[in-house]
Amino acid sequence: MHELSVAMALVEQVRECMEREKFASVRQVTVSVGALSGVDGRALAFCFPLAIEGTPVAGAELIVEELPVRLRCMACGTESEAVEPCLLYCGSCASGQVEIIAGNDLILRSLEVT
Amino acid sequence: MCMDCGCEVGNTGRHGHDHTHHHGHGHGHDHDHDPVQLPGRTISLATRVMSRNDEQAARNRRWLDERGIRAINLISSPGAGKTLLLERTLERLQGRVGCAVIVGDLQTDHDAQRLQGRGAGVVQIETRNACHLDAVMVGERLPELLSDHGKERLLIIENVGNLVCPAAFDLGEHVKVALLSVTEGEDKPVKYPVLFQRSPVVVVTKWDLVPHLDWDRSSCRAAIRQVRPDARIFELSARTGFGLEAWIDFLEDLVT
Repeated sequence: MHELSVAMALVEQVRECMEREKFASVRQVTVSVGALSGVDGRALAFCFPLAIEGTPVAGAELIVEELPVRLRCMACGTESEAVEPCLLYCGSCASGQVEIIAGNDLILRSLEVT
Repeated sequence: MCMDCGCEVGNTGRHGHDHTHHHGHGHGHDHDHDPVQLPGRTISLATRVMSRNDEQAARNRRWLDERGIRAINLISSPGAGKTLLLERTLERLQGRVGCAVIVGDLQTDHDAQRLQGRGAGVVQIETRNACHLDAVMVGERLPELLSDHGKERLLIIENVGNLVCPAAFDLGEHVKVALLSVTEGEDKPVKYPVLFQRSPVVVVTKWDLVPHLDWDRSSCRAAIRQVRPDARIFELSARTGFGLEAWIDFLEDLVT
């Protein structure tokens, strides 16, 4: 429900990239939304057109990829995918002593530009 | 109500889950057939979208560290008892640990008024319509918190009452604390895993109401441990004072 703030931060990053890489327009913005990022992909997609209005990013399409939670077990060392974001235990030995190695963040993956 | 909101409408959303056609390279040859469109290129990135907030949060943390202040960020749903816990906490720490408080609400300074007269400087942030505090809002107000004598050692941030959005924003705190009242249901940690996963400390509030409820203590503790196995759990009632000592000891340990 805070996705408009997040969408505005995303637009800011795209603009910075535009200046750095010197391109004129953006066709497509691809982001990965981690299941434990606290960001809802659908709400972000809803807010994105509002956030780009009147900016150099206007007209771009947002592509949202869902990123599952990946865990590394501190007991047996196995890496596994969490079945649910709220079930944080090792897929191999079922230990709860796991470290989250992916799925915590919202990541700007790529831009298709002209 | 929430300016940042849009989720209800957003849930009918346009392309939030369109992961079937996600791979941007499919459009790479548009120019073969469409003379109007310029040839495109794809720039690969791996930037964290929240990095700006997180950089400011790191600056806030450094500012606090330089002054020997530890900060906690209290997050819960509205009405879980953050402000009452804060009132009792400030009363008990008065004369023992110098405290400062930032309270976030959409509107009004009611909470800041409630917290006056307990020996702590209180700053109210009215977020207007935003459903959370962010690191910039907090950073702007930090300098106001220090009194002339500079005895502050603990900053308590009472976030906007909301179990979802505040979890996504690091404010520069040292410890995120999730509050859960016994009237809310034992399975809340599993329903809202982002907050409870990120909170090493959980305070179960309104413990005096347990005799009137079918509260299942072990299932609540199991739900907390499921998303955060190492969570430190306090069960207390700010109203009766039950369990407050352990909480106060924890805060004193934090600043020593």
